Order: sequence, then structure tokens, then C-alpha cells
Amino acid sequence: MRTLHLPSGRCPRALATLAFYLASLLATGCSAAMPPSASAAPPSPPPPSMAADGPPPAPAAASGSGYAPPSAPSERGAPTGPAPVAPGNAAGPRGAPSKGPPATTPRPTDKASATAASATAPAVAPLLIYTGDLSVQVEDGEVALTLDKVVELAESLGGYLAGRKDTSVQVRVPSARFRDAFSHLEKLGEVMHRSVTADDVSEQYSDLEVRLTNLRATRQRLQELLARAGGIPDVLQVERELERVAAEIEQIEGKMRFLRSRAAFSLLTVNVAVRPRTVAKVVETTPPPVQVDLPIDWLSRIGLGRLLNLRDR
Amino acid sequence: MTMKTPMLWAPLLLLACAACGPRATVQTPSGFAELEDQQEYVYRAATADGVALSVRAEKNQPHGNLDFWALALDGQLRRVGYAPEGPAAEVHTQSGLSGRETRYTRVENGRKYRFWLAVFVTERRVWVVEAGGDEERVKGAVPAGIQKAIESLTVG
Repeated sequence: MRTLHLPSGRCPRALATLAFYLASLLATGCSAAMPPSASAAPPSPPPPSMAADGPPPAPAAASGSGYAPPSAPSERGAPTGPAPVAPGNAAGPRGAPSKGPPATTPRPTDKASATAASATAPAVAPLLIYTGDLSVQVEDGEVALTLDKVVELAESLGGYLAGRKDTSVQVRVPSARFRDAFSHLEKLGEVMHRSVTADDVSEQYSDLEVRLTNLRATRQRLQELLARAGGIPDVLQVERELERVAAEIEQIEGKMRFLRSRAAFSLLTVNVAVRPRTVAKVVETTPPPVQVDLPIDWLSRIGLGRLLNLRDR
Repeated sequence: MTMKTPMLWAPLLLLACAACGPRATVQTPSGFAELEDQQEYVYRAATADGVALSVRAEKNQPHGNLDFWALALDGQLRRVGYAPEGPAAEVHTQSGLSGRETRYTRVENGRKYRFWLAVFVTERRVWVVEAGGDEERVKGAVPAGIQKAIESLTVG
């Protein structure tokens, strides 16, 4: 709990107002991670895909391989806006924060639109991060070529190369094209293993949204307070608080961008191995003739064993 | 003649029959010494370093020809691990016998051995000449001496 020491004796009305705002600010800061109450904070906006995007594009048809990857993430609410986070600018935790919220994120300060979106949203769609693994076998000498094909395919679908080793490659493809990509990749060789996992980060994202909304409201109030602050100490105090709130806002925005980026682009890992050569075994179709054991006792005494045992007469 | 006469002739007849058993002679190769008082073999000789040469005489029962006995012996040896160095070869003795000779190798305890087998068949007997020893010792003049011994076989 942080304590503020304010100067007394001057401008009691302004002080009273400042004290009231700071007290409410402290209270907000302590409960930033908590869902906002109906009276204290604006309602949380829905996940980005619901709030701003239209219906996601229909997933590509499943291939005829019999394997049915999960429905395209877009069906489950992954952000699939017309301008997904660009690979180079995909702001992760360490990425440079973009200026202003992305198009898919509702403006928390626009309370009316957020409230309206919440009210019209039929259900909260999950925010899923898809990860796929595929192991294929190819002919000897085709490993590098196959890895190249994986990268080319990812790029043709709007994805990008995430990492490459001698026998494996990681690509990120737009989640809406995840199934499409998987189907194409399965045709690159003989599939030995495949797996798809979905990590639901809806709750984490929702918490971040709530905290962001509250912090922005706090920042607004602090800015109003700053405009009315009389003395320099008051101004300094409010500015320090504004800085702290701004830093927190940036941090949360960065986390949210990271989650959106991960949900927008699914990670696909393709391992390529050389198909073991089939060694043609020469099978003798004609078995050797059966050896007949003749009922002649002395035959078994023929040989070096008895011959060289000179003491045996 | 008295009653004692048959009793006197009986032991003499038994001795004569014993002397009529199978007999074989070969020219003992140089470096070999003939071993006496052999029971299983009618002839046996050996070098001091362990190469042996022997002749055994078995009854031709079941009655078979040279093909029969050559195949019977070859099958037995292959069954217990002898590997032929080549196909069987006809061999003729100076006494007019015709037989079949096969040379084998065998590995035992990491050592390679050579084993020669020659078989001759008469109406009543099967004569089997065996010779062999460690590969390192069946060399030089030894193989020629063994071959000469085989060809010098006389049976009776």
C-alpha cells in the first residue's frame, strides 16, 4: 500500500479533490487485476475477434487424407482481421509497442461502443493458440528440398519462417489457413507423426483487458487532476503517478499484442527424415534337402575328433 | 581219431578265423609312425606334431555301392560342420581299387583343420581312409605323402 504525503494548509478545496482522486486511484490500483465492479469500472470489452471483426473466413476444405485437423482457429475466435500483425512487427514481449491499439482491439475508452459490443455478443469466443507438429519421411537427398517447400508453402499462405535446422523447420502461418497448411504439408512425404494442440489463453487475455481498461480510466482521471493541480509538489506527485500508470499500460498492451500475434499465427513444426532403404532380401525359395540320419553307427565316429585322439584305439 | 581231436582243432580254427579279419596296408608317409594295437582302425599312423592317417574297415551293411557310401559319409560330415573344399574326386589305388576322395575344412575353437576322406567299397567291406590335422601342419610334404598313402592302399 502506497502512502501519499500531501502538503496541507493551502487551497483546501483543491487538496480535498486531490485526496479524493488519489484515494480512488489507490483503490483502483489495488484491484486492477480484479474484474471491475459494475459501478467502479467500465465493462470489459469482448475479445478482439468478437468486438471488431466480422465473421472469420471459412476454413479450407479438409484434405482427403482422412486426418481432420481442428477447425480453423478463426472459427473459435482467433483474431483474423484483414491486417494481422505483420511478422516483422509482431510485437512480442520484447517487441516495440505499436502506436495505438490494433484495429482488432476495441478502444477501452470508448465505453459506449465496448458496452454495446458486450451486450450484443452472444458468447465469449475463446482465444486459442494452435501448435502443430508433423514428421514426414522422404527419399534420400530430398530433405533440404522438402524443408524449402515448407517455407515456400508458409509464405504462400501469408506466413513466415520461424526457425530452421538441418532436418526440421518451424513456420508460422495465419491461423485461418492452419488447416490448409497442414493438409498441404502432409503431402510432402510419408507422414510418420502428426499432432495439433490448442492453448486457450482467453482468460489471460480477458484479465489483461480489464486491467488495461481500468488503468486507462485512471490515467484519464490523473490527467484531469493534473490540469487542476495548483502547486508544484502536487503536479510532481500526479506526474509520477501518471508515469507509473503509463508504464503499466504499455506493459499490458505488449502482453496483449503478443497473445494476439500467437493466436493469429499458428506455429507449425515439420521434421523431415530420410526414409530407410528397403533392403531386398534374397529369400531362398528352395530349402536345402533334408539330411537323412542313416542307422549306421560307425558313421558318427568318422572325423578328426576320433582320428586325432591317438590314445583312443 | 579219438574224441579229443575236435577239442584240439577248435582253438586252432578260432585263431585262423581271427587271422582272416580285414587287413589293409598303406605306405606310411615320411614323417609318420604307424601305431600298433589299434582296434577301431585297421591301420593308423601319425606324425609327432599331430597329423594322423588311418584306415577303417566296416561291414558293407546295409549293402551299398560306392555312390551310396560316398554320399552317406559326405552327408554325415557336412551335418557336423565339415565344409568341402571342392567336389569329390575319383581316386584309384595302385592295387586297382576305385574310390572317391573329398577334402574338407573345419574350424574348431578358432583353429582351422583340414580333413581328407577317401572311401573304397568292396563286396563285403567299406574301406575308409581318413587323414587330417591342424591346417598349419598339413603342409609341405605332408599332403603329397598322404595322397601317396591313399593310392598305395591294399585291402584283404
